[in-house]
Amino acid sequence: MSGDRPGGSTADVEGAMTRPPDEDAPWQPSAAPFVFWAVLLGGLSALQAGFGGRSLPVLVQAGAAAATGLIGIVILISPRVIRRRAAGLRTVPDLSLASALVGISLAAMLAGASVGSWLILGGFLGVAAGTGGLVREHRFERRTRVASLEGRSENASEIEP
Amino acid sequence: MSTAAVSIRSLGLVGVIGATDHKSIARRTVVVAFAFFIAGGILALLIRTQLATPSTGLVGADAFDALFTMHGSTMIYLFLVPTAIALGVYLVPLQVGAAEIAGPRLCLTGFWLYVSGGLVMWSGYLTVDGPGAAGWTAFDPLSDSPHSPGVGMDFWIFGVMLATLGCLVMASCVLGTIVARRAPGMTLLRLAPFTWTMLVTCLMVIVSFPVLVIAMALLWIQRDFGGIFDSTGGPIAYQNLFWFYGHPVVYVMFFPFVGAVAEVVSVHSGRRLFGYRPFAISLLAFTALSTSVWAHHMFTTGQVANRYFALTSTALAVPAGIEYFDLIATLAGGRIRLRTPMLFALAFLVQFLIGGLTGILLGSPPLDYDVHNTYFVIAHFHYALFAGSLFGCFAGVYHWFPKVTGVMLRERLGRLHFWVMTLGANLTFFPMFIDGWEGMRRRTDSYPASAGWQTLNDLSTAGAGVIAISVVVFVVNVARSLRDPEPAGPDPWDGHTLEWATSSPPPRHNFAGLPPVRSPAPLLDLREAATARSVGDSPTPIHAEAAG
Repeated sequence: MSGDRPGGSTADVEGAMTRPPDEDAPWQPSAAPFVFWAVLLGGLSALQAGFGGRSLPVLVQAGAAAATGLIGIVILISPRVIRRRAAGLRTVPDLSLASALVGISLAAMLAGASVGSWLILGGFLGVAAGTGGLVREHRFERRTRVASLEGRSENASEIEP
Repeated sequence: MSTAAVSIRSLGLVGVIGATDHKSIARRTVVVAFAFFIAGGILALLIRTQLATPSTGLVGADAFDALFTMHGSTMIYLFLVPTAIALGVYLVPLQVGAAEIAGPRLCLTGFWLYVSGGLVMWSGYLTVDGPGAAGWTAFDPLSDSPHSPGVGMDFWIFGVMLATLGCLVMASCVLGTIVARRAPGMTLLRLAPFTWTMLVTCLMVIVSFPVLVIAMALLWIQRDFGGIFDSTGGPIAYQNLFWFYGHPVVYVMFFPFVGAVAEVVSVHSGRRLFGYRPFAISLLAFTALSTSVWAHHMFTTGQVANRYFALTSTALAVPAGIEYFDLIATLAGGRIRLRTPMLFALAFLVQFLIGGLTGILLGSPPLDYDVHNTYFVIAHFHYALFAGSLFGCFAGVYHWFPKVTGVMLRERLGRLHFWVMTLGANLTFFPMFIDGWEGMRRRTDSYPASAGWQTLNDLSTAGAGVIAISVVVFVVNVARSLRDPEPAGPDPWDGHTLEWATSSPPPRHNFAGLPPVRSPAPLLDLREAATARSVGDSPTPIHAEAAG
């Protein structure tokens, strides 16, 4: 399956997959914009309430503040995870027909609500097939990553068609 | 070129469907969006033809409703928003020094959701009752089953949901890239100006787009089953949900192009962006405020806190002023190259100012009551989105086209495109201010001959034709430039940011190596360091004299 293949020449793939963790380089989590936004939106929600705003608009705005703050907190408490994922070994897919299939099938399912149940069913089957394809791609990527870490050369034969 | 890259190209349709390279996804998104732009533009020409005389009768009232609905929906949901996000999908990984976008598969799924959404929305024209015809806002009860019968309206709702969801997914990938894929040394305060604008754009997208998807789902349930917006406050609740998306989306269609203009202005002035930190902070404040002004669209309902929304709407002028000041101060004292990207950037600054200042006027409840629902509003947002954002978009297109394709666009055709489009935009939209001020209602398919609006409407119609000609000039420019290419090289403009540190077009994984990142303009740092070295190495006048 073409979606299984990581792309580029061997050197390209190695370069992209094995960006070295640079412990000394300044790297910081990006929570600041989220926290700044959450505080500002929270303050504006309170201001709106102070101006006699109705419950729905105040709640919508406060909800946006809470959502942004939550993302900021997640980023704040997980910098190690983000850093490891950012700097560590990664496989890069070149093709993923399964991803396209999932997108198109979701659209078919939704349109099926007006067109007919046959389209909902078709869309559902497409989503199922696409999800299966994604699982398969992830498995292959894991194998590729392990093989690359162990220094085996099977990866090169995979990418040379 | 990598062997795998060749093999993907040879895969043809399979590659078009399934390639996960962020550059490929962005290119496909822009091509699809441009196709929708042409389609929406044709609808605009039909609208203007209808309004050329008081009662042209080109189309009936219902067909006219569908025309302006599909024109607005296409331009917003299917053209400007996806184009803005596609710019980020292409450029952000390059500007932060990443080999790939975060979540490439997710990004691809987002692209297909967007494409499917567009097709579903436009397939309304294939139905018996025609497409959605309740305006791009689809206010309830106008959009409910009794008032907008037919499956076309449902298709419109699904199309909006899918396209919005697709853009949300793609924006999430861009945000994830900024958060987690930055190159070593790339701190937040070393991000390129464009990447900063994408960061704040994505923040707005992740808080506002889900609300629209929910609003559309509720609207569909209301149409088919009822019970959602039936109560007294139901329509107002829908408006609140819609405008919580509807106003931030204006800035989603604006900030990426501000970023593009900031890059163009600094590169083509040969200077660093003036006031980088205030620029970044004002972006954060601007976008947070812009998520707090939505109900100025609802002043006349009397159901919102008008004073609060008037205050926040007016306060927008402060961060906007800081950004304008930064851009103008960057120009001041720069070695300005008046190439096509710079022309579009300068026009953006002037024309968006007209849209922005009239926006402050509309943010004042007493004035808004007077011109609400008139052509004044149409003129305002077309100055903001067409004469502003689209000009910023073209500044970016001319600036980054060499990077994306490896080919320079023709300068002479670019200038022709610029001048014709500037003429067309102002000819089309400026008369609308006067029409609206005199009371011409928006969304009307005719007007009384005695009103005296025909001359102004004729000017607008002629302007729309001029805009169409300018788009043809642009298409010819692209076609000629690609057919008879003038190679661009990796850095034709002496760029400042990391995307110019790689080949044009960039390879599959973007970079063979990265320069050190110590400021928002790492390439300019390198050039300045090289200049300093060469000055230091060359003999001083005294040495030269001694040698002589």
